[in-house]
Amino acid sequence: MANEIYDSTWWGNTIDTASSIGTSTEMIQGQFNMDDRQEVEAVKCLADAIHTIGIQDIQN
Amino acid sequence: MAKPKLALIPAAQGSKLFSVLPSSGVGDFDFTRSGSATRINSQGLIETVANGQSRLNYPMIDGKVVGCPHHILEPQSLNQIISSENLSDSSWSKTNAVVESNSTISPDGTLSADKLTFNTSGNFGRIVSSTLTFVNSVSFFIKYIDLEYILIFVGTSSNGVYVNIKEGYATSTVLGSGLDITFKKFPNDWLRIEAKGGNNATGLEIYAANSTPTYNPVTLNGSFYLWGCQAETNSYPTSYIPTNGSTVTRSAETANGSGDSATFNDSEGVLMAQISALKDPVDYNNWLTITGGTAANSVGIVFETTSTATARIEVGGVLQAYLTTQVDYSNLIKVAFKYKENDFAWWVNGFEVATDLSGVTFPSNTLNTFQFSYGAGGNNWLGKTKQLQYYNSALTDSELEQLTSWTSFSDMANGQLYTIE
Repeated sequence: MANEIYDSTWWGNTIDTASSIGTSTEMIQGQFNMDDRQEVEAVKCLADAIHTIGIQDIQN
Repeated sequence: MAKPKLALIPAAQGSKLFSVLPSSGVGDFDFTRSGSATRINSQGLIETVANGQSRLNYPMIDGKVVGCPHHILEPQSLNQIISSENLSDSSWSKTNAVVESNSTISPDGTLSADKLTFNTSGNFGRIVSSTLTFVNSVSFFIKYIDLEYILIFVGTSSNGVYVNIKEGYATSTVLGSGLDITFKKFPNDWLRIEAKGGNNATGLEIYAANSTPTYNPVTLNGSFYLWGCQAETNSYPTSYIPTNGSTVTRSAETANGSGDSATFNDSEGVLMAQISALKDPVDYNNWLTITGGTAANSVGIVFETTSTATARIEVGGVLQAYLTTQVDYSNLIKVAFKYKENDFAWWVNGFEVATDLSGVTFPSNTLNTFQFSYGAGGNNWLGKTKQLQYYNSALTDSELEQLTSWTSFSDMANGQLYTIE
């Protein structure tokens, strides 16, 4: 089985989840800045974690 | 809940452990390791990671990668096996055993695994690496063909255990004090067998055995594939260290220097981590600290040699809170330490396990760095890191419960590497 969730070329998840993080641009920017410093391998893992943190921020 | 000021979500390898927050990169940890090391990549294959590069290691259940990676920090260790993959090498002595080199795809995905065929008639068959010293743990990758039982034996201490490599279990038949065996499934039906309890052994010996089980005298004919053999003085097996003609040392790893004075709040905050140690109990106290450069001013999470997980805060050399709980920290656990004047709390896996309602916090401009080590350096943290978060304000109990809880049953099961049947 392909491990597509680790695909380092696909940033769709970050874009898909951006709206749920509301106005927190730093959380989106952080992902792209990190990729600038070093190519991110586990893109979806990073995006999912940031999404979870963002949802917690909005809910509380 | 406030957003974390600093967040490390393992997602990239390189000269640092990269923190996604702050977005500026000031939260990155400086990583060091002299020389290469290996990891389990996203395909479940053993892969070499270059000199000075941090490692993303992927968890596996039943030979398949499941879930997101963690960073791994390991101690220095020497693989004493001279030729870890080439069993034809003269450093391996064979008795009633024939090696067929490069017979199948190995756990690193290359055609490099040797086949061993034993043919015995009223005697024994074995392969031995005997030039070892002070070996306390051994490990190797093995793949069943048609020989079901082997005896894993370490010389001098004379400890051994019979193992079924078809089904992947240790029998109750042991020699000496036996060995503490762990099986880890890898893709393509490979097993990594890890054995502790070598007790300063001087040789790794693998015997062909029958189903009794016994190894001598036996009459049998059977084969298995063997690759990636390792013998360490370390009391527990670490990640694979390839060798080819001489022993190889993997250097110790460190990660320090995350954040600055603007990152951390001296008066209150929360340090959250999803982490595990490489063993329980650890060989020495493993520290994760936010400090001002000295142990005298530090917020710390410590896995102690007493098998306790501890949160502690020291201000001006005076211990303000020391909160501790007994937990199996060899599994990934979620912990959070809240510090605020007269309000310290220690949360583990969704529960508040200890509090202290008396004590002060730091003067302004004290805390300025986050590190995988003791406040003054040293006592480096060894283990797996699935996430780190730092909040520069004290969170509520419900927020701390949420932060340290598993989000679902499958999240918990995968986090603990349980198989759900």
